[in-house]
Amino acid sequence: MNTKHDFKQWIILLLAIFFLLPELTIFAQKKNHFTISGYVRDKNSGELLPGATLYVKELKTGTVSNSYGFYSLTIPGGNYHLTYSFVGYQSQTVSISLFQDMLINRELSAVSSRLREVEIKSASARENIRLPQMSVTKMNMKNIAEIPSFMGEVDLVKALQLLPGVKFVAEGSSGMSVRGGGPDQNLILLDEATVYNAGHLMGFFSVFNPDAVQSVKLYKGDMPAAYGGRLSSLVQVRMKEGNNKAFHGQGGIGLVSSRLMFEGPIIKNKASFMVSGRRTYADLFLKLSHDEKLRQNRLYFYDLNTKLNFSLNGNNHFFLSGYFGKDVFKNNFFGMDWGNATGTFRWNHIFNEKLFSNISVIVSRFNYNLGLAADNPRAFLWQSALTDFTLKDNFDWFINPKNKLNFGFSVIYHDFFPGKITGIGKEAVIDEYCLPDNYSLESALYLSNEQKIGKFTLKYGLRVSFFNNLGPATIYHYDADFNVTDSTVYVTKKAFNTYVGIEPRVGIVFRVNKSSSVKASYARNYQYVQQAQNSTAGNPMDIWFPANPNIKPQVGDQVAAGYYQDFKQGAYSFSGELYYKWIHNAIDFKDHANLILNKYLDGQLRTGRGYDYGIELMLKKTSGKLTGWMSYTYSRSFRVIPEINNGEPYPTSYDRPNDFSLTLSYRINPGIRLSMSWVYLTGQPVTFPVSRFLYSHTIVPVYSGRNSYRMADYHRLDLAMIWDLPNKKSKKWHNQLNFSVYNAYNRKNPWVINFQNDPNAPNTTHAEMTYLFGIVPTVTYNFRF
Amino acid sequence: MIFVLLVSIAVASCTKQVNIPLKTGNEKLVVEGYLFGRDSVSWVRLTKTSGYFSDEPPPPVTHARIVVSHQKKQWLLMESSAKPGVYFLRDSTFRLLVSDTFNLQIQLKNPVGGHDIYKSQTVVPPLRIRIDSLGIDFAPDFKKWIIRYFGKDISGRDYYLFNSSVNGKIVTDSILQKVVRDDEFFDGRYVSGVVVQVLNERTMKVGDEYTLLASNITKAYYDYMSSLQDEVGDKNPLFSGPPANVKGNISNGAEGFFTSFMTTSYTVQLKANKPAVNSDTDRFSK
Repeated sequence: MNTKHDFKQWIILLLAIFFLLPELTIFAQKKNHFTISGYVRDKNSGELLPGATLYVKELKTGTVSNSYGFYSLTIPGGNYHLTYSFVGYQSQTVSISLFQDMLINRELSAVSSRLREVEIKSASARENIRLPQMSVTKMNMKNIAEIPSFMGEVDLVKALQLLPGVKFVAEGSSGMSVRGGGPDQNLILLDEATVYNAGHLMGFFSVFNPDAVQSVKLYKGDMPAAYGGRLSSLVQVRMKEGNNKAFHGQGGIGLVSSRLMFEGPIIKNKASFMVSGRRTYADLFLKLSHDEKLRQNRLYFYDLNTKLNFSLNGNNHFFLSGYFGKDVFKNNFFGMDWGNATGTFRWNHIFNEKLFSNISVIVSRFNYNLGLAADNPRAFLWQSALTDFTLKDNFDWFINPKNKLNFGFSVIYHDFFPGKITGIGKEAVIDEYCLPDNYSLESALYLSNEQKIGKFTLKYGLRVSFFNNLGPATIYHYDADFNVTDSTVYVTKKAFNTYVGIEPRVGIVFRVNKSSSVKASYARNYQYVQQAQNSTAGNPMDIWFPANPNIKPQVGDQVAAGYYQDFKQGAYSFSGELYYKWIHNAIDFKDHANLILNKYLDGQLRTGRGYDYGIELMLKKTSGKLTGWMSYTYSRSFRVIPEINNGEPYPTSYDRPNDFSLTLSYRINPGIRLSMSWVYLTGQPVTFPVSRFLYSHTIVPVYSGRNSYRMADYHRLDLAMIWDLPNKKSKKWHNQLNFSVYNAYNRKNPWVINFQNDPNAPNTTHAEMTYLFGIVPTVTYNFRF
Repeated sequence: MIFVLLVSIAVASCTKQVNIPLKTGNEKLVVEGYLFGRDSVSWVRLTKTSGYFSDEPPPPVTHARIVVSHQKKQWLLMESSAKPGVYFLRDSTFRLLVSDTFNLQIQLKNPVGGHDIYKSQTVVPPLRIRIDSLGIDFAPDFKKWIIRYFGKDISGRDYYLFNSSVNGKIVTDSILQKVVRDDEFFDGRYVSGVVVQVLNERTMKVGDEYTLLASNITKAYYDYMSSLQDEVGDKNPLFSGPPANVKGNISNGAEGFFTSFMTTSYTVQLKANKPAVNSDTDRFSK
């Protein structure tokens, strides 16, 4: 397949969609039917509210605003009462006489925390009951900030880890496993841009600065057809848009970092900005160390988030957002830095009252550099990077109250540069060693409809994905024992290998009554790019590699069924879900794999199949003085790969059958909140020695089957108190102190268990456990104005 | 890289000895066998695996008949009376021949691991390392001696094993003290100081006679040794892959390896040393 030809086809398709669809959508309108459309926004900040609901009392029907806050509803002409509502906001009801298409933009006011007890008919709870989308959770940064945090750093990834079906990959890590999948099976999007490495400081903190983030939404496997490319989950992180009515700021001074964020209008009600920064000073702690060598080290990270948005007119809205973050570790001898950079440009265009489109142009990059200090005679520089360029066009066609169509396409151009070492010093051992870039194109077309039929709502869609490896490239051929036999060199930029994935996504919801429903879904996902990492927690030296003639794409099929129930007018909600997942072409790595700077990486891979299953229960309380949730998951996760564990099924490192978490927040009075979270997980599966032998004067372990033992169970209690300090002088300026205690009862949870030979007794061996964090109390000062 | 990890973790982590009940795996034969050039006596050690926490020396396997053969020639190994389970090849007609294959056959008196006959073979790699000088620094930051070698690398993929001796005594007995290197990154170039040994401060002192022992080894033995080093060293969740058994080259599922190599040595007298981090290495030549 020719790439130029590919691009031409895409462009023709794009033009066709642009010019023909608006006509079609109008043509499709029934007689005597009119459309109400518009945006739903926050009254104070002007920010768009995705997921807000519009309910037509007389027709008992309604719609939900899309991810850009736009809604559209086509109903027969008449007099109606429309109710707009959104979780945490006061509902508004308007009466209209609908005899022509109407544009109604609404602004809703957030309810103060005192009123929240009254405002319990939360829209989100009902959304959970009503929509056919399964296994999805949305969290607002405001709520996340109430959860006790590690070292005072509010972290949305750690909050997600408290949800059923989501587990951390190692103590303190911001890597997560969703329903048994590896951390590279999560598609993490920050304003639509892929974040390849979501961790700072060896993964102990996530890259998401809490001041800059509005909300996060997690889909566990059953992704909307518009998204794909990962087997386990989709994590959508939305940055704040910036207040377009008034200037505001917020920030904080914590134990490890300080933060500052500003937002405000550039042109009132039309254009706004948000800019936010965070810088850690972890190296200050090193200065406290008694060890002089540790004191010389510099270790820090910083983040910069920015967003601009501009409303040209009612029909055209532009967003520009960017993220830049870097971790730096340096001493007199060695230096290393790594980080992500993303940029997203989006254009929301309303073709007509029923057809909404969003075009996104996205750049996403992750890179790392490391080497010896430049004055060292043996200095070298090691560089690695990956860059994505993405073009997406997404359409929402609000056909009628019973049908909502979503379709579009996306094209991602991947440029993976696995690494190059360059000798700098005059005695450098290496002159230059370079693995060439590999290029690929990952594209997709998708179409999905949401259709209401009586008490049922169906969601059925299809995503067709295409993956092309592009030249120039050298592909090595391997024999049955994974030895290189030959190679093929592709010199032109043409595509030399193509995979096509047919990915159906279907779901159904049956509304038992107003407050309960039963759902089922099936989704297939293809994953064409993955990480060459065989450690459980991962490290910043990420290498991503694409499918190619040697590596088939991984495919996941997931079926799920669930029951959802609201109690007490939505004050409590319960959900229970069962799932089973089959992974085809599951990738693992051979024993003692060499994954770094290896030309023959393909030969280090072993493929087979996998299966994950589980049940996830969650009870949530969303209003009142006491809020929070309780979740329990029973799940298993296995892989079967002929060359690993003698071909026997083995549990993955993320197989932790029992997982319980309790997260509560209690408001003592308007100024003081107490919160806690307690987590319990079955110990991590590990491989331990069952016997030993002596070779070269050294005791060598002989291991059990892979992951056939477990470390001790993991449990931890975190506590926090959030105190809004009274400020009588200024109504505008708010001060807050956040006291938190990580691991309150000082549980020594194992991070790793090593088996060692006692140096003083040559024949004696013992097991030694390393645990990371004992009790860690912190205080953070936050302010906003 | 590991250093970065240590710094970031050192601040917070603690260790503790723990009791872990472990089952004992099936008993297996362990073979450690070497064929050397004319400078050393070749030997084979037979032991058995034991429970991980057995806290006893490995049980030797005695009274075996061990034969090394090359084409039609055969040599019988004799068990040492002082070291039960160790068999020496003291036949003066024995010669290692470069690029040729030598076979090992072991016949046990009583079966171990369900078998009484075990076999293996090894190819003798040519010695292709040229050392023209050594760099020896004492790195005060790590309190270690760092030994580098200089010399022209011969074009073609090579795998090397490095050992050290001080005043004639080998000081790199254990797996983690030995260094194995693949010349992929410096193949065919002038090697200007690849680190080939890291020794503890107390291993030697100024005035001592230091010898670097360098051998070409097969890729299979290189893989075996580097995998053993993975398994014997400490692991952590950030960088380590899953623990896995290291497959040797002995038949019938026995542990261990039978290998052959020739060794070249380079000896220097250790002179007074200046602290040398970020400065040029002190070069030692004969």
